[in-house]
Amino acid sequence: MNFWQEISAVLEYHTLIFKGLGATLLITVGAFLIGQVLGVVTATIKVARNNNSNVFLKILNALASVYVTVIRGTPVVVQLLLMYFVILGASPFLNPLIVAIAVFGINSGAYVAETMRGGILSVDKGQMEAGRSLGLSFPKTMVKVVVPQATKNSLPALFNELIALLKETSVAGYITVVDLTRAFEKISNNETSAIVPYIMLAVIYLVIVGILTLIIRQIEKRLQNDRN
Amino acid sequence: MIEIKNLTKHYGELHAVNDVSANIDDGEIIAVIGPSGSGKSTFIRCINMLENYDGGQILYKGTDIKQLDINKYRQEVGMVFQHFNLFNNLTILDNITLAPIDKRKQKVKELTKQLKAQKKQGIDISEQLKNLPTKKQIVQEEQENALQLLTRIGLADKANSYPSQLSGGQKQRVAIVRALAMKPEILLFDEPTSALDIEMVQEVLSLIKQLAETKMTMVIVTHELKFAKNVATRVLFMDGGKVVEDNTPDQLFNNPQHPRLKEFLAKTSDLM
Ligand SMILES: Nc1ncnc2c1ncn2[C@@H]1O[C@H](COP(=O)(O)OP(=O)(O)O)[C@@H](O)[C@H]1O
Ligand SMILES: [Mg+2]
Repeated sequence: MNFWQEISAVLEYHTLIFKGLGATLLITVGAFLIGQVLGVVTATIKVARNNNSNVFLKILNALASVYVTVIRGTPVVVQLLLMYFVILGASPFLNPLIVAIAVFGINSGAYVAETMRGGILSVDKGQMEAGRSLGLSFPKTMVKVVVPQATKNSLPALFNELIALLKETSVAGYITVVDLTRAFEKISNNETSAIVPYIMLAVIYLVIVGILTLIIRQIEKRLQNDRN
Repeated sequence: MIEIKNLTKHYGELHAVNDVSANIDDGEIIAVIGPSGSGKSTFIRCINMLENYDGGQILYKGTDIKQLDINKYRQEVGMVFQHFNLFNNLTILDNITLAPIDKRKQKVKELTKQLKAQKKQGIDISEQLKNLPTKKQIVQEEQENALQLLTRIGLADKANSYPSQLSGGQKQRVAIVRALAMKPEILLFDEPTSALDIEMVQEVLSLIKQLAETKMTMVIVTHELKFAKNVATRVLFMDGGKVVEDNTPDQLFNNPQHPRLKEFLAKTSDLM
């Protein structure tokens, strides 16, 4: 077979490829959203701890520290395996796709926490003080005033996280998810040569990252034009 | 309205506020003056617990403020900052309405809860529930109120602008109006004109003067001695964390007793 014949042979598997692409995008987007929420909450606990000696906060802060340390100190593949085969016992009722979304979300949250902590600390202290002086609660002021500004300040880092996440999901196959990478692995097993499928796989990731980068640039440009 | 008893606040070894006692009565306009670092900001920030003081007591309408719901207390005690601290991510209108809308929504929530408790006892509450304002009504009313306040300071056309699009004087006037939208019992000002270019100081001072004419109770930390003399009903002079002199403006400026006050007034006489 020549090169073009091999490509069209791979494209015969378009159903499998689209299924894998769907899984990859679903895990990426789902995990990103979970990661944002977990990250903001964790960062808020860490920042709140700095100016409060409340016991409850102390415990939460200790939990947050363990969370960030464990997640950042172990490979995401190991986290996937632990969650799927050990903690959840590889039960036949499990949907591996959902487990993957959860694990990547929890993983992403630990990185977002560090980014957002920096972002929150970069917001002028006067913003929180003004909110509190008007009788708004700490969480309310965080949500309405501080976090939006912190997110804006951390946007480049958060976008990097999204792109890193997209690529990291390529190990989801370890827990039997058929994502883009696993789909092409299957194709290459069925075909004579691995070269063409894996080059196509790389190109597809490159294109997705390229499209994401373009979208992100547009968003950043628009935010810069906003005068707020 | 507010009684301050032996208030003390340390930073390590430093007594930023050292055994200060003072009363703030309804309708009083108290100017706090004194050299930089004398504890004026710390003092005024303790009053609404932006600083946690470590000695003494502050009573609000007779109750120790540490016993009060801090957020409810702060709804009644407004604060205006040197650097305005408008919410950078919100429009001018949203800056003004954010807190009052939140306050009123919470109140409705509490009332609903109370009514539901009555319902359990068999009391018919449908009529009262109907009379509670909806969220939409609250938002609309607060927006109207905010626009009225903005009209009063000539900035209605800035309602949808962001803080970064306003001059310093405009920002500070919005900050004052934002505090007013809560319908507070008392307003605290920490050097409201110190961060302003000279040509904008007057517009802010004249707004505070207008408030003074409405008998708004106010505590104003200021370096504008002439303003303090003309507008205040009482002046506190702070030095080294203590209130060294507490008198009517006339007495304090024309017949200063304490040597530190005499020195301070001599040094700043060009501001009078
Ligand atoms: N957060 C802080 N940490 C340490 N020292 C502080 C802090 N805030 C204020 N101080 C000190 O407390 C004293 C009083 O400060 P402040 O109340 O700001 O005075 P003023 O407003 O009269 O200029 C100053 O000596 C200042 O350096
Ligand atoms: Mg000060």
